[in-house]
Amino acid sequence: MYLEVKDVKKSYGEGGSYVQVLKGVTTGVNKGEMCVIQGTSGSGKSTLLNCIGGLDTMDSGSICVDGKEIKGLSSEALSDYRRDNLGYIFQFYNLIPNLTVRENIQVCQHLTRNPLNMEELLDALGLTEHQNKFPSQLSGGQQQRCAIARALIKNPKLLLCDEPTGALDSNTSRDILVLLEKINEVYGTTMLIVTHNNAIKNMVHRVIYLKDGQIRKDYLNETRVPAAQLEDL
Amino acid sequence: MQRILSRRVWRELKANFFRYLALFALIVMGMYIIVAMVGGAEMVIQNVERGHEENCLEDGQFSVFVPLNEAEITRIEEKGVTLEKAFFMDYSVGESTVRIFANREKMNLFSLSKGRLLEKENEILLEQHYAAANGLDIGSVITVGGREFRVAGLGSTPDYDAVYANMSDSSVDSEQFGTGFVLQSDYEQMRREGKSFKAEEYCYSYHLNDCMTNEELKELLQSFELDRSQVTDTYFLEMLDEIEETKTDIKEGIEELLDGSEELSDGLFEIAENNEDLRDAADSLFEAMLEEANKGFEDAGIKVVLTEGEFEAQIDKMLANPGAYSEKTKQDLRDTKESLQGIRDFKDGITEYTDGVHEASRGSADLCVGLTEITKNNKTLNNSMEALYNAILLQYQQGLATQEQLVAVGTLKEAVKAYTAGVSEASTGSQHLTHGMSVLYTAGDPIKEGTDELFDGMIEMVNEQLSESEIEANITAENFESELNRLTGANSPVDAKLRESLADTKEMLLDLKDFKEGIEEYTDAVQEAADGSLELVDGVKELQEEADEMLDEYFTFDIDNLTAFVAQEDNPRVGASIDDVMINKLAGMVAGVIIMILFTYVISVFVVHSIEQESSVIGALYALGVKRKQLLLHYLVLPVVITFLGGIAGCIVGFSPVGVESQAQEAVAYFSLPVMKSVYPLYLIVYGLVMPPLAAVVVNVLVISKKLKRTALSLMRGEEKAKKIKEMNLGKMSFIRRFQIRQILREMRSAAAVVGGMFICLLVLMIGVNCYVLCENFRAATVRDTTYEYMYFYKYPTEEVPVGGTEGYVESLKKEDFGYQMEVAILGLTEDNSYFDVQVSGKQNEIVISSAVATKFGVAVGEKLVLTDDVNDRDYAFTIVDVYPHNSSLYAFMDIEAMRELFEQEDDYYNVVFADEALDIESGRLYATTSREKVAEASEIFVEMMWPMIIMMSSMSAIIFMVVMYLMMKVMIDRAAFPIALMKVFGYRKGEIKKLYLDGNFLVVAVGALICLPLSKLVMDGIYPYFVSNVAIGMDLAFSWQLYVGIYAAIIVLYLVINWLLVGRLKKVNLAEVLKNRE
Repeated sequence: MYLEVKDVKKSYGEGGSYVQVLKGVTTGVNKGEMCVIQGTSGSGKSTLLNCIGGLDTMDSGSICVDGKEIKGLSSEALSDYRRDNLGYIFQFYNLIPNLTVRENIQVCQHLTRNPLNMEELLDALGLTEHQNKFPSQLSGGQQQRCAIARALIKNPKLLLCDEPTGALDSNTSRDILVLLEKINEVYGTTMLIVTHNNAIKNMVHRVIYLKDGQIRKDYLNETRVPAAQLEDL
Repeated sequence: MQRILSRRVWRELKANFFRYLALFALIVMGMYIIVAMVGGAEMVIQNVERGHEENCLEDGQFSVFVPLNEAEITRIEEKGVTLEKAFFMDYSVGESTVRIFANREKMNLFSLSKGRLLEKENEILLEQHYAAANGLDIGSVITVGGREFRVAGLGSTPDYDAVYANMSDSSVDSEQFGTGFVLQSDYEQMRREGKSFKAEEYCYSYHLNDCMTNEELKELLQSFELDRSQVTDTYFLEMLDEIEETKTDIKEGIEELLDGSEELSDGLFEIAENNEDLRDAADSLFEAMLEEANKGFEDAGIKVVLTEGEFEAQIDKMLANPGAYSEKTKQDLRDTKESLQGIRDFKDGITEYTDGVHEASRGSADLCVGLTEITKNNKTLNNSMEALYNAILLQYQQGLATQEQLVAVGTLKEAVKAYTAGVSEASTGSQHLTHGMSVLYTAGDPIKEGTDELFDGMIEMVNEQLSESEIEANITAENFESELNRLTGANSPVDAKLRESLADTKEMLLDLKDFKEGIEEYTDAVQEAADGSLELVDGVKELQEEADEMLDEYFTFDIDNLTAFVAQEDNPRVGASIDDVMINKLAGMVAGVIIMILFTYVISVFVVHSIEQESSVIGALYALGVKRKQLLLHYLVLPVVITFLGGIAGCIVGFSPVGVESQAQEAVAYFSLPVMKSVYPLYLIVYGLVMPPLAAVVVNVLVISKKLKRTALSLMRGEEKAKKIKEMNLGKMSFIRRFQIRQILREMRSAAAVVGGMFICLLVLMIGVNCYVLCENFRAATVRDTTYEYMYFYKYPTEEVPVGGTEGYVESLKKEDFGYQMEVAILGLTEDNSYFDVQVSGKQNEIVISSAVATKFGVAVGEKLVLTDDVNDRDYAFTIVDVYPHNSSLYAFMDIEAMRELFEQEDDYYNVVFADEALDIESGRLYATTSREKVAEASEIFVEMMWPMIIMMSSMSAIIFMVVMYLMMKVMIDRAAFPIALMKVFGYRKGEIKKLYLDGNFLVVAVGALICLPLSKLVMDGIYPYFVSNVAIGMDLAFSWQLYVGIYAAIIVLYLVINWLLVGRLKKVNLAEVLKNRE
């Protein structure tokens, strides 16, 4: 499997405030798969995503990406891991406000020797006409498309999306999901999408359901629905 | 709600502990600096002032040559003034000098720091620092003037705050000089024993008791007549003798001139008396010649009688009648005419001559009258001078003229006017005399020629007469007597009638010869008299010049009548410590203002940053219905409490021994002060406790009020107004460069905050560093500028400049600066003065100023410098023609001759001598001696006195700088925390993040420091003269380039350290948490 998660445990706090967020999570995602991690608030889905993304450390267990164990990597090695393998999409976009759309995308373009074609990407994401605008001049959807473009420009092997439609209305959410679907198809990018949105599970290859730090469900979606046809977003 | 908010305050404190700790530390240090510096100065000032009051500091003191008599003391005391003798004698004790006073009872009382006051004979109270420097303590025995004294007490007196041996001293040397107080009986005994190395100084201290002014007292003192026989100062007597000698010389010279002119006059009158005879002789001669000619005509049968007025026309008429006379007769007629013409010319010459003699005589009479007038006025002049001298004796050192002196001077003025009028008359007389003599001289030649012609004509006439009688003879001027004797003798071939005629002719020729010789002698004498009269004219001219000079001299005589009259405020020994610590006080107060600006600034940046971070919280609380007042209160609590506690802590540390006492320590160790008691100036306490929280309140209220003008929703969303500058189009450039510029533009406000904070910190730093630089530059300049080994200030200069010395002339004038009267020394230099390489112009209105004057008063070449002579109430305006690099003293340079002329001194006057080695000059002639070594020591002391302030200001400002920079840069880096975390999420490496974010910060700090460093220096250089406004030194605040580089490097290093600390913390931050918090 492209992503292998084995018995990952993670806890926060001490004494009375001790909370075990991940209680031995084991799962995996194949290359090119779109995977959704679902669960209620506090189920540990974002923590799992952060551990996979090397943003947070795990107490125990193992995470291998493309056969490479990330546990125990130094800070610098983790930076390289994220640089070479990952793309991030956040719920609140996290665009850099003082950079234009194009410059925000360049932030990640700068990190790879073989980036995707900027113009094609801008065109594909419908940002060509907005490329010189600043985030404050864009709508939420446009901002998220900019964030997606930023994540994709370095053509990551694994795209981690944390509530990518969480701050968007349903139409815009659909547009974004269509976009992600298209990217998956065009670039074969493996995607891990953390979401509350129950509808999104219908468009992905794999669904992981977490509850209280444990995987309750982990299955392949045999009846995928194209993103454009998703309802109740 | 308020309880919940209160809990939040506590959590806020815990969360930002270091930030608040830094703010607290900043306020503590700031308050410490101000309280310590200003409090230290206040401690000295208030204790010294208390000492003045408790120990009855004099209102002033004066010294006289002869002690005041009872009547004089009564006259002063009747005016309500309290007097106390402060007589003293200087004794050598080992290598040192102890000035012994009788114990005081009314004023300048001894303030004990240890031991007890005098109880019995052979006890002494010693100045505390002198005792310490010479290993003396209570119970020690000191031998003064051969008598042993046991030290009963140590302490100080308010009139010797700075224990200068002479008022002109520039530094205190406790090892070499100190004061001692003994019982009156011991003092009397010591006086009788006469073992002091200098004459007793008759000094009096006084309290005016609001009954008189200093000036009035001085005038009263000047009105006292002085018994000159009681004067003991030999050099002053010498000066008087010199004046007397000059006076006698003038008097004798005039008398001699009068005698000479009288003799001349007598001579000329004698000549004049002979004039009548001379004229009569000439008339008789002419008449005899006419008679002779008429007789000849009668004998020849020619009927004509020649007259004096018409003889020429008559003879010409006879010659014009052809055939009437034979050729021989015609020739006779021509000869007769020629002879008569010669005689007439001679007669006219005699008349002119005698007129000249008359004029010369009249001139000499005028001269006599003038000189008599001069002589007569000598007496008045002498009397006036006498009066003036007595006045001079009374106040010979200082002060203005009294009414009586002015009267004396007025009398002198009249006398000198009369005197000069006499001289003028004498001069006119001598002019007449000269003219008369000149006429005599020119008239002498025709007389001689006329006499010669007459004589030659007579010889020729005799020869013709002999030729007609066919007698062989050749009569000449040389042989006429022997030849005529021969011809008129017994064997003469000549007939009797002719013989008789020849005998008459011989007698006439002999008379004429005598007359001729007499005329020659007479004209020679006149020639001599003419020469003499020219000399007389020169002499009278000289006399007139002398008279003019004397007029100038006595009208401009420096009326320094008392040996000393020093009002309390002019006494450099009194309150010197106050002047010294005033620099600290002023610097502390300015530092206080700057530090308060810094506090306010830091707090404002702090608050703005916090409120921005708290924007959503404020919005939420606002939305939840929390009132604006509650919000204000909530956000005010922490900064107000922190700043208030900081103020309290700062005040406590400031007032502790490491604060005020350590700052006052140098002054206490150097000056002779009463025991120091702690003082707590109210204004300092108010400043320390009220100002920091007040600043916090004002800033918070303003910022939060502004914030709360926005809607709750806007606050919750953290909406920021888009700023055009942040969104500007940067065109084409590399991503990294573009990113960096975007980042700098985005962080401009925090960058400005950092740079602003840096600037204010640097201002504080500059106070200390400038102080160090000023002291150090002054020390170096003093050593460099003092090119002489010795400089002697004369009280009574000798006529000749001592061998090995170069003379100069110093006058002290004043210029006001920041309310202080600064003394500027005008130094007159000779051309060969090798100690000051100054090119002076030689004009009276042009000066070269020292760079110290230029920087102190901010004047430059081409400008006017107006200096005031307080004593004579006169202003001098000089044009500055050059600036001479001399930074240790307020000097202005002039050509010595121009200066003597300007200040109306004698041509050879001097009062200062520079030398390369010690000269043998009697100490009684000198006001003071300065050596290169002493000057260097004094400059070292100046640096030492400033050292605690330098150390504290430099170190504290460096710490404040660090704290403020930490706070400012924390704001900067805090703002960059999220983007840095984001970049790390994207996979940026440490170096890359540094390049994108931190290099920009570095650039801001590096460029900011480049701007702020010289700017803060410039600003502080502008303020600094105010700090040292009471010190008469140049303001060389120039930094060496190494110092600039050092400070700049320190700023950069400081930034790197703070950056390392703050960025190091960022590394440990959980990236996921950062992103989560952001969301």
